[in-house]
Amino acid sequence: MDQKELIQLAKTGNKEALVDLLKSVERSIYSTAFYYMGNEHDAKDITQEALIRVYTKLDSFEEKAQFTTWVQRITTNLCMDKFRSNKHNISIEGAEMIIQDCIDTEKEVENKIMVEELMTKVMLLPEKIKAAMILRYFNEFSYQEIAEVLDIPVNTVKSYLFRGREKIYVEYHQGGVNNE
Amino acid sequence: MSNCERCKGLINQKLDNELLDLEQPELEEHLKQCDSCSTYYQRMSDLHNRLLSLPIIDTQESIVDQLILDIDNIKKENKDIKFKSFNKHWFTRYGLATAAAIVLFVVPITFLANQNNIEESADSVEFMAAEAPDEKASISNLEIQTDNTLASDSVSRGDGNYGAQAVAFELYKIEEVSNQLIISKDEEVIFKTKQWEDNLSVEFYQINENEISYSLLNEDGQEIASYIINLIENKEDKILD
Repeated sequence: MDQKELIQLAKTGNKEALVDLLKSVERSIYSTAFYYMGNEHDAKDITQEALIRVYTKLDSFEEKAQFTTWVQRITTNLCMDKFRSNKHNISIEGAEMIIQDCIDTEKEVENKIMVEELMTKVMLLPEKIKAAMILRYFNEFSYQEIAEVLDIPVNTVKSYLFRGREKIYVEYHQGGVNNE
Repeated sequence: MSNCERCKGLINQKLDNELLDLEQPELEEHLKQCDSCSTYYQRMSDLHNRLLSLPIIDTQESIVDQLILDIDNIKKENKDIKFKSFNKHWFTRYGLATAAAIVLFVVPITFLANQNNIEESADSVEFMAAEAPDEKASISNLEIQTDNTLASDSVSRGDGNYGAQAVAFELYKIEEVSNQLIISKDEEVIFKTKQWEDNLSVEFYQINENEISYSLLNEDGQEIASYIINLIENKEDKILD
């Protein structure tokens, strides 16, 4: 069953369809929240809140819009609000614990430190640049989709991604990491 | 190709799969002639590929599975419009759902006369539980006690429509006057921001009971600085250059 059918069924109160629909976006919500907030605790809280909002507001979702874009907009707004309201208490734990489970091959294990550092650098980007980078790299959104989620002009999206990559690149070299 | 700066822009577009067909030859031509840009392209491509290879993070346990057990409770809470004694963690969640339900069903009646702006635009996918155009909108008269973190049920970011929030706290009056924001409560001015330059525009919204965020944008709509105003400490902090 595709996502559109799931949405229609879930709107009629079909619990099974609702579960399938929420599960289809759970991973992307959590991943966005994790990279945005930088720690598992906040990521779980945001995922829970986002899923409840998706559920409680599903009736208002218009099918001419993209469901994944709508979900990511809810998620990103929650991240921004939580990040800003707790900005003095945000804990960037990095990726060490999480990444253990994501690495399979020997080659990837060798690159573990590099991957962790890169993940942490994404987490430490300025807020809106980080939001654009997360949508680009972990949700594979286009400029237009990112612009819709963040409610900013397409040119600003372009500029954020440009600045995000340059900032990470410069920090890599300042940090003495061999990136060649 | 006019200069290397333009080339860098095209390289970034290419990495984002947003390079137009007619721009491709222009980029290739410049890269053939310019060692500096070729090096930049290689380095950025390398970084781009590493970013693409970063893992999507999974939860250890499905949060949907945990939530779904309580879906019926959430529905029930929405009907009852009253809170039970949950532990703090779950109170936040149920509070959210219940607050959403309240603003869904109760606030629209309160603001029936002001609902001209409630309709979402075709492109606006963020649902607003209660888009009250009046910045003084408050649902405190419903005697709901809820966590402030539930309050900023956001929010048409970018349009400066600070009234467009489903709030469980009283909104301040925020006015843009002579290149500065003036924040008032009960008709009394309680905070003024610094003045910004004429060529800049502003976006703002209220984060919670005590904090207001605003961003300054240049003529291209690009955000050049963001601030958070703390109304308790009566100060503003810059959060983005």
